[in-house]
Amino acid sequence: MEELVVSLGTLALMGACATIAGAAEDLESDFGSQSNANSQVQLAPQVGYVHRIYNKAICGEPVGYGFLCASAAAIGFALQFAFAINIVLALAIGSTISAILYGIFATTAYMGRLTGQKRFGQPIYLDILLTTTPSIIAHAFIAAMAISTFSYLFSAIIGQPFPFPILAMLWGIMTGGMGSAVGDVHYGTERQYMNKPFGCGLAASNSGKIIQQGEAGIRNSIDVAGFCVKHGGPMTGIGLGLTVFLDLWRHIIFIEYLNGWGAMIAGFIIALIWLIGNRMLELWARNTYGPYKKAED
Amino acid sequence: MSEHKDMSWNTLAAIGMIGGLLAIYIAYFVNNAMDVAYGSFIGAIGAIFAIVWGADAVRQICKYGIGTGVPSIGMLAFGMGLLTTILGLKIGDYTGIVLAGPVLALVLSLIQGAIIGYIANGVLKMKIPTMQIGMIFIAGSASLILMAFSTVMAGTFEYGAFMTDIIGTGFIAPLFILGALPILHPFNACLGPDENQKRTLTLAVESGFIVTVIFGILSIALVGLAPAAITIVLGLIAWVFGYLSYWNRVKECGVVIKDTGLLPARED
Repeated sequence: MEELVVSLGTLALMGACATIAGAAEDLESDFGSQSNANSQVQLAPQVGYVHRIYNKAICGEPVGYGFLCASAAAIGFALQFAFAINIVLALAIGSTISAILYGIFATTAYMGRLTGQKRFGQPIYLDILLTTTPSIIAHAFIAAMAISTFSYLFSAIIGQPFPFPILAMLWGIMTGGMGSAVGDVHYGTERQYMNKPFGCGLAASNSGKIIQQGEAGIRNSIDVAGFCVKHGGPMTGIGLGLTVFLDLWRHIIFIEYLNGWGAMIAGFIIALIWLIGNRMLELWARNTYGPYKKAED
Repeated sequence: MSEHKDMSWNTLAAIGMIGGLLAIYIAYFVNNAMDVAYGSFIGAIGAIFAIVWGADAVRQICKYGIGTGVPSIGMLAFGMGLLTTILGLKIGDYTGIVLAGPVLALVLSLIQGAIIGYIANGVLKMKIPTMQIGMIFIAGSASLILMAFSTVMAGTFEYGAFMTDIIGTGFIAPLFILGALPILHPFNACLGPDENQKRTLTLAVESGFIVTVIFGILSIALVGLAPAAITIVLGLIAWVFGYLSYWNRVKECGVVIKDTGLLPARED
């Protein structure tokens, strides 16, 4: 019984870490427009919409978060192993170093992407580089710290047999994938496309026509993140937190039944409930907020 | 454009293979002959050769408009390279000829790349002219990068050390993904109609050095503080030069660089 309580307590802590990581991840990707909007930010100067938005194309979010979290956890592991320092401190140092590494890659990506299309007249703004990069590093630090902490808990207390840098990489990839899919409210409510009708998708004729102006002055990445902090960030946090919590919860509680198959069946039922719920939500949103155009042949 | 002065990818492949293998072997001999780990950093030099080769191969494949596929190509390279590297090193270990390991690993990777390249072009009908050779090249460079950075971290490329020090500790995770980054990031970051080989490969070298610093930090746990410190300090110094020369390439390419300012007026 006591073991179960410890497991469930750890699980709650891991869920909390995942929630924080998810929220930080989404905002971090908004600072650099690494997510969905990246293709549009890249395309905008080509259709005449020069902008002051950061273009951080390090690689896809899943790979980016894989390397951020794996290096944070591995450095933490190495420092703890070599100097026997406290794991919390070791992970903090690891996360700091890997967040700075991530920031360095972000700057080279920003400069590279703009030089790669210099004929379209998009200038490199040094103030954008100098003010947005620290925000990217700060949010990357939060995400890396949370993911590596929770991978450590997963390995040390829940007893997952993999070494925890590998767990950190896998969960980093999952966080990136989730942030890429869930948090991006870009194509609907994100500010870049707010003046497009709901559900229009992004027609080719609208591609690259991002919004250049903000409430005061010219829109930049910090405004985009400031807008997404309201819905996109918490949404990704809830998404990742729920994934971690529900998945491990059903594992810990139901693993004892039916020779281990109990956990499988519980997982299947949870996935089914989610699938039906999502479909109902989607249909409701389409009918309520339309106009949704029928496909034309 | 820049086409006429580009280095051919065959030249880069030769430099990458010879330089990469040579550096790995020198690091191994220095470490074994003196029974120390101070030579580990030499492995990183081999990694840089292999990175330049791999980054150029990724560039040549992805120039055919695989826009969002650049990171995937890098991951694919390392998936191919990791399996054959382990196999090659294992054969070296099994037959007792440890020194044959890296060469075998490289050869097996090239063969694996050829098979997968054939599947991509011949069976899946992707019809990308550079795919066949490109696959061979990225698999080979990934294999060399894996062995070179494992030499940096563990001081050797022996199969036993690879399994316990790299895979057993979980350092394979950063090795896989951070190793892939210097070959996929340069073209992914620099792509566009005004991309040029010199700038992209400068970025590859810069990325290689910063990643070396991280592997240097990880090697503290495996080879001890002093050999790790050599890798970290040399890596940092080289990275500063790499970053500055990339910045110079950016400046000299003619893009407008402003401290701050409003948007330029539209000309139309």
